Amino acid sequence: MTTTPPTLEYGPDDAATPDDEATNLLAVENLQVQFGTHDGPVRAVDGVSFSLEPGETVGIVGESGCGKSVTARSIVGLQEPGEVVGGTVHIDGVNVHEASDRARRQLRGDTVSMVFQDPDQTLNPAFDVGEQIAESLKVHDQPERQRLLDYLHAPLFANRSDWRDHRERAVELMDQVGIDEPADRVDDYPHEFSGGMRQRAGLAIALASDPDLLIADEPTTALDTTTQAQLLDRLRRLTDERNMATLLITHDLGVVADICDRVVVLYAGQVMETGPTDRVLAAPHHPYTRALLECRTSRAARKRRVPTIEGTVPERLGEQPGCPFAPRCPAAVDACREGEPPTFERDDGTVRCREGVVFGEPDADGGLGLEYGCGETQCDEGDSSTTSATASTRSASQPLRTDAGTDSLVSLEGVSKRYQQAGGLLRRLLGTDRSLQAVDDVTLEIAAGETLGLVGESGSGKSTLANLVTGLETPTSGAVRFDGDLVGAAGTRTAATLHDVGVVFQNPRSSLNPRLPVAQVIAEPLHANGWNEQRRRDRVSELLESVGLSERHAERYPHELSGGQLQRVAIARAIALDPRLVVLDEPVSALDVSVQARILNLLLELQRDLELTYLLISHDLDVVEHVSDRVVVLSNGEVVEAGPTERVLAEPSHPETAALVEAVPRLEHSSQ
Amino acid sequence: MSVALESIASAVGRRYRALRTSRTLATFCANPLNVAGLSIVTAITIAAVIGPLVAPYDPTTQDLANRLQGPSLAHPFGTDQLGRDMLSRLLYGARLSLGIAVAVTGIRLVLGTAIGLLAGYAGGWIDEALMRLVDIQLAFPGLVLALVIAGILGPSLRNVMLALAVVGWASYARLVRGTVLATKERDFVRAARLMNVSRFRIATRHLLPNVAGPVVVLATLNMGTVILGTAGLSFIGLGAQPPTPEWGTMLADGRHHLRTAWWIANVPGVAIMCTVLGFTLLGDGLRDVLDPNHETTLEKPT
Repeated sequence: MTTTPPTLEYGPDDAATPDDEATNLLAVENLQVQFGTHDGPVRAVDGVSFSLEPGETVGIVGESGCGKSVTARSIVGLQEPGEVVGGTVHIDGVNVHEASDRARRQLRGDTVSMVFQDPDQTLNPAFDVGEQIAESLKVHDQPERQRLLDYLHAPLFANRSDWRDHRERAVELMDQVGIDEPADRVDDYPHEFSGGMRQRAGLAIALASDPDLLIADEPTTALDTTTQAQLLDRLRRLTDERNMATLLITHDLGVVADICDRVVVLYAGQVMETGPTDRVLAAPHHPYTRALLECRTSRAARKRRVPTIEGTVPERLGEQPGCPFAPRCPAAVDACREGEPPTFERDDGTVRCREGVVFGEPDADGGLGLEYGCGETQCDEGDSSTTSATASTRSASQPLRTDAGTDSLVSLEGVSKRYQQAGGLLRRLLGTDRSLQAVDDVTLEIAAGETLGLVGESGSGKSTLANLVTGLETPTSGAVRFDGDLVGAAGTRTAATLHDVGVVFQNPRSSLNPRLPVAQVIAEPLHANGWNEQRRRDRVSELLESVGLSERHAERYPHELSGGQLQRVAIARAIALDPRLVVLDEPVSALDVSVQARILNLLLELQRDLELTYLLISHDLDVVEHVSDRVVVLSNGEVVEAGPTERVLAEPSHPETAALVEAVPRLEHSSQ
Repeated sequence: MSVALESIASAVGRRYRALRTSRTLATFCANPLNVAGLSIVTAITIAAVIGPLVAPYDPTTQDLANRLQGPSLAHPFGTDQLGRDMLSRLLYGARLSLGIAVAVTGIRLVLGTAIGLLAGYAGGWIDEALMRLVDIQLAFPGLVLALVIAGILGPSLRNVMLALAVVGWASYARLVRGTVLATKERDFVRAARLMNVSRFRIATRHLLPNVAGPVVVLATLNMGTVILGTAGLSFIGLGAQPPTPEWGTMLADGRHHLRTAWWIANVPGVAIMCTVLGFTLLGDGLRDVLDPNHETTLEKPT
């Protein structure tokens, strides 16, 4: 597969494919995709061009809503319900959107494969994993023989020897993508696999057709860090071995640094910058790329404000002149808002920005001379009028740090939690009752005023431990003490204890009642505490201001707000009754990088203003490192390491911690 | 006082804005069948409400001189065997049929939702006991049970109503219980528990609004079957008694004159068919927009 693929069928009018592009496996030329809404067409992809050569790995990065996934889907002709209104996509010389259904199917069977984001939804729960990989193999081998009977898997009619043959190759593939003991797992159903394993199975299905081009749409976003590292490693090895070209869609620049040769930065459906990964990450030319890099918590000093990009990705409705990034761009001049930005071709990539004219060469050190995000909490929606009065008086240079107190607020003494599994009567009689040890003999203390970070792989018992602290679960053995008093389930706690603990859940969409407007969501704890109408109202406006939302958000319903705004509402609700402890269960992992930075800034500010104690659960070590004073590492429900953040993360003494630290994709790998 | 007024005003403004910008409404109107269902139901409701004002004759006044008249300008739908105007009887009948349907569905809905909510939220033995009660109710053939009840209590519209209400609530209870079980595991209910919100308030403010969608769909679909059931019981003489203008009774009257006066049976028959069709189409349309699985498309990206 190392040779240049032969040109299959160039139409006579195919002027868009000059000779020098014949070597490209994938050529996207000025692609435009629109979505019809009742406000008019929204331009999701607006003139994207790039190309891929065989064996190359290219990353597409950008915030959510930038058109990354739509671009990827359009390449294989899955843009529904969007509509391709302009431009061409050539794979192996075939124009995807003009090809017949048959030719397109053949392309998908032989040349292109796709790995999707959510491993839970890519596998069919009704068939075992081996069958699904085998199906992909079969389609590749005999694209013409897709008879109904073969698909009913009726033993009488299906060809057993073929079936066995495919099954064996499925086992081989499972081995290649790193599923342990594939021969035993081949008969398992998707629900018996963990998230990482499912994603590997999805990769195996994609690889079954031995594609020349693999499109991976956020393949590791739903996975925890260690699994992500393993999967990326596997992906890198496979692409090298097979000389496969990979198009990787991701919002994580760390992932890009890890495996991509080149990067395409998308914003509002337009290509902002392209270039080799090392160059783009070390010396980004475009302000948007620079801003994205700045947002990463790993770049900021601990407990200080992270620079943010204010505003959100615009929805491009109708004709809007100028650069789409101009409203959020700190370097924007009037010309940016009026005319289309020019695209500069350089030896190290392209950049679509007027700045090329104004500034010439950017600084070699990455050109971070511009100031981003001043010391203000601003609303996600980019309405700059919503400024927290308390926050704006503060200088950005002052460290946002509270002095950790010494008295312990929460203490867990030998706490264990077991769950009964599949406990039927028969099992109980036979004595084969299985139970799962979610948390095993954990002893730890949280001092007043500190931030304790709880890290570990998924399934290590982090959330269970948090639920034990909040009272959503009761320990099987051991004691949970709050301020010295023994506390149990939430239902048995006194009102005062309940007020002292606020909780922010991972997914803001599911943690807010979709049927209540924001003001009532925030007022809920106040109402439960018997506050009267007027007091509730005053407190709600105070809270809205302190989390950086404006009064006009108060009457909105949750589905009218963005993810970052919703998380602000959830935070406002958590601090409504002036709690002493706030349990943050993955508070930013469902959010975009730029929104993540803003929420973290808000949390740090609130902690300092209100003297809060945080219990922060996260699988993202960068976040934990940025916010926490102390870190506790959990593995299989046990505490394997605990200590000050700097010490634990810099010199991990337990292999589990070392593995976690190792797994974090860092930009520095490639640039140094 | 002014605070209360203000909050009412803001609530109204909120609803209006929600309705205006609602993609739900746009989705609903995108399918012409939904619009057709809504139009039929609206038309019948209007007919039922203003019927007595526009009906040209009294529905029970006999005019034996003009019996069995075919459709004409004076009697658009003809007259029956006692000379009563069919159009007037039809309009008054719509009041009855719709009224009974609303009342029966209301009783079923309230009873079923309360039981389902209690069972789903309380769990444990309360859940077991209530759900076995539901199973028992579902094990009886509905219409036969209604027949028995109406037979024992004696033929009258009120008894038909009771009979139909008693047999139909179980499906609501099951639906609500299932939705509550799913909803109570969601984070916002857990958050409410941690905020010391009382159980009653969690049930009414957090769980109930979130089960409303599927219940409304079921109730709409149910209206049609209740109208059919009422007409059926009246047809066999257990419901409305002559001379009450009820569609089922009218149908029963007309069956003796099918050869000579086809309109007597066909007019109420077509009315019943249209009403049931209207409610079914409306219910299907509502299912499309109120189903929780469709809500994901209404969300903004992060």
